[in-house]
Amino acid sequence: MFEITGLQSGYGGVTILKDVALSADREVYAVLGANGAGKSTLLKTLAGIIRPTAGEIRFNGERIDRLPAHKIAALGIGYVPQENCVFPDLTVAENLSIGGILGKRSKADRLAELYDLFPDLQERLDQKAGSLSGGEGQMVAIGRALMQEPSVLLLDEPTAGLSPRYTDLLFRRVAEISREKQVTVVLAEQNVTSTLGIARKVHVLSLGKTHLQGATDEVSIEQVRQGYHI
Amino acid sequence: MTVEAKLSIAGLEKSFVGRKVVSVDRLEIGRHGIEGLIGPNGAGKTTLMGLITRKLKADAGTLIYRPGGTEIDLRQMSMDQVARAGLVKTNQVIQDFETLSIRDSLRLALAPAEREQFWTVFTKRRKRDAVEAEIDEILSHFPFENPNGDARSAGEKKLLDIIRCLLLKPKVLLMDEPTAGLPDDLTRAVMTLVQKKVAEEDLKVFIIEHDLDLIWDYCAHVNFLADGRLLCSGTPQEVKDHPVVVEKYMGVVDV
Amino acid sequence: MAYLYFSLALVAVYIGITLLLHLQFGRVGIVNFGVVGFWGLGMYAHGVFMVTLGLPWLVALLLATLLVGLFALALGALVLRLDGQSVLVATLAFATIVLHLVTTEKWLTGGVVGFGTIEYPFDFGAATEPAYLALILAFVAVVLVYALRLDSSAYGRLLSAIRDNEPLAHGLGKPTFRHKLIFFAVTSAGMGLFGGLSASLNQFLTPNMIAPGVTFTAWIALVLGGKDHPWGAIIGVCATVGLFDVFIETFAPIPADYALLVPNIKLMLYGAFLVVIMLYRPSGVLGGYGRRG
Repeated sequence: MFEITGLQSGYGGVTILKDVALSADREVYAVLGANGAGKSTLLKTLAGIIRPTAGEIRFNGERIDRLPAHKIAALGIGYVPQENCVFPDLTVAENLSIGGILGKRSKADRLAELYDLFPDLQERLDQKAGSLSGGEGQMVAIGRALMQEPSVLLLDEPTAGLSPRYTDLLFRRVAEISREKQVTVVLAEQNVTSTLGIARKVHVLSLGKTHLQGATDEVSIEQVRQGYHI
Repeated sequence: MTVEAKLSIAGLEKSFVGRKVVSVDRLEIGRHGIEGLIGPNGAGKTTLMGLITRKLKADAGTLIYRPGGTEIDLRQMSMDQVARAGLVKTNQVIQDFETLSIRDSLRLALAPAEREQFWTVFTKRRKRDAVEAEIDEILSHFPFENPNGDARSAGEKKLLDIIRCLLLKPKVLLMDEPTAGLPDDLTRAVMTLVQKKVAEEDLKVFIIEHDLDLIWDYCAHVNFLADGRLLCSGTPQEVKDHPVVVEKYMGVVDV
Repeated sequence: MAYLYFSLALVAVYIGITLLLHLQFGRVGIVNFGVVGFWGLGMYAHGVFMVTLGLPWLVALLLATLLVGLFALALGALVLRLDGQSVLVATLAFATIVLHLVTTEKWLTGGVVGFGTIEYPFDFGAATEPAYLALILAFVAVVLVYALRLDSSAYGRLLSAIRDNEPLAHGLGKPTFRHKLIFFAVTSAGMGLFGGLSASLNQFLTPNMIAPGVTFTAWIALVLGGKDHPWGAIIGVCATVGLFDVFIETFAPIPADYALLVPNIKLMLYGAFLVVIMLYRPSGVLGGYGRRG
């Protein structure tokens, strides 16, 4: 259970997010909005990389908004940033192992499970992560986050720059992860149609404020579009 | 369209590590007072601005600038020459001179090159009442907490950046996300002043902005960039209604 | 008595080069770790022009200064676009090259045997040394006045802007690289000028005079006094070179057995000074820049 109330956050004295509230529990929670809307800022704040200037973040009832990023990660909240999300000079296997430092079950079990989910990765274990394509890199980054057996996964525009084929595949995997492992996925995206296809709840940000939020099946694309100001 | 464009771009290309970031066949800037440039993340907007101001070197293409009657090939010029020729850009990320007060920062913008030479330190100083009056005039439009002190908040620094550029008396002002980090009321104050300058002086403005409402409200003409290419341009209404714009922004094909 | 004047002249020379280093580093942020290269080149060039070519003292001094300026211009054109670390390494390398060439090119510099004699430009009998000290002080005064006037001038404001945020100044139409290059060349030529002045002071030149210690002493003095103020350079030099090379060597009654320890104790105390300064006043005794009003 992930709950945020009255969240305000930003960088270098500039407030970007204003009064954002949401709650997500074992579902795909989509955060939409045009560029500059504050999606990345929201995810970075949730991951503890930026400290909020107001508001509360609760995880299973406990306040986590004052914790440093590594403690938040240790609680089982995995974060996959938009860019630079793999260690380029390490191999795929090494990248995944780093994620496996946290987590309770044996590393081998978790790796085996991961290969079921992303069969492509198994063929590339010894390849340097820096030489992967954008889509494969995203898979490794998500895989690394999954190795710590998170109960929350924060994904920042995982499909940015990916081909439609990979976008599709990635979204199917994300839906699977959430459903089968009961993981709460907070998914920031620009791509509206595909996102609405897998999300149970949708939250549209516009210039740092909540434009609308609700269950996906009750929200029309026209309403979302207003949040994009086009 | 009889007005001649201040800036003509043709066949402009720029790649980073093999990826083509900007590829603009044709773009004319300066036929309308205030023009906008919009597009999704990674569309190449800031790169395009960098190519125009010569911060970045283009791989191919031409950049012709017409400040007055003359034609200038920008590819022959350095970034500071471009700025002195009246083509000036405000910064997206807050930029500041740490040890200069607000007033000194503005004096810097107004100082002519011949007063900024090694040996002028020994020459007599003239009083420069005209400069101080000009600074007072422009500061009067904005509520700086202490106009004779330092810019403290992020908003004041951003504002100072824009004012510095206006004091250079540009012919073409490029604004890279002027509202990012600026409170709403200050944004309006900046845009009102820019509108006034455009109406009164020989100034054209080209804005990149994420706050699309600002684009729709202030721009006479809007250009839409995605994947480095200029996909459409026209009046705000035309661009808003263009299906490609909705698709590129939202990944939605039919609405 | 003559030795006291020599020591005071040495302090004056150090104040001169440290003031110039303040201009380069404190005003513009150029990390010049090759101070002794420019100074030493000026010193040897002045000597060679006078002794080998037989040029008059003043002509030799001006030519030596010009030569150092041209070298600085060439070096600056190569490295001033790069970041601080590259400038540091490049200037340090330059000084090392000068030291090596002076040592190996015996036909020109006499190598380790030494090179001389470089006479004073005038002979006033007993008044020669004090007069020469006054001459050096006059040059120091010019640099000091320049440094002080910079504070309230348009050029000084431009230099502050370049130090604070060079890309921003560049975007405002200021040819920042050209300004940095000219400033670096002229101030480095100034170091060469003080080198030229030191030639007559030393009379006989040997390579050990242009060892890196000169650069480090100027840097320690500057950091100690405060890099952001002209007076910081003066205070710093008085507290280092002045204290050890003049006060203690001339006046302190140190038994001959311990005299050899003094230079080592000096270095240890320099180190201790620096640690204390960094801990309690990282911007030097006079503190850092406030915002300009």
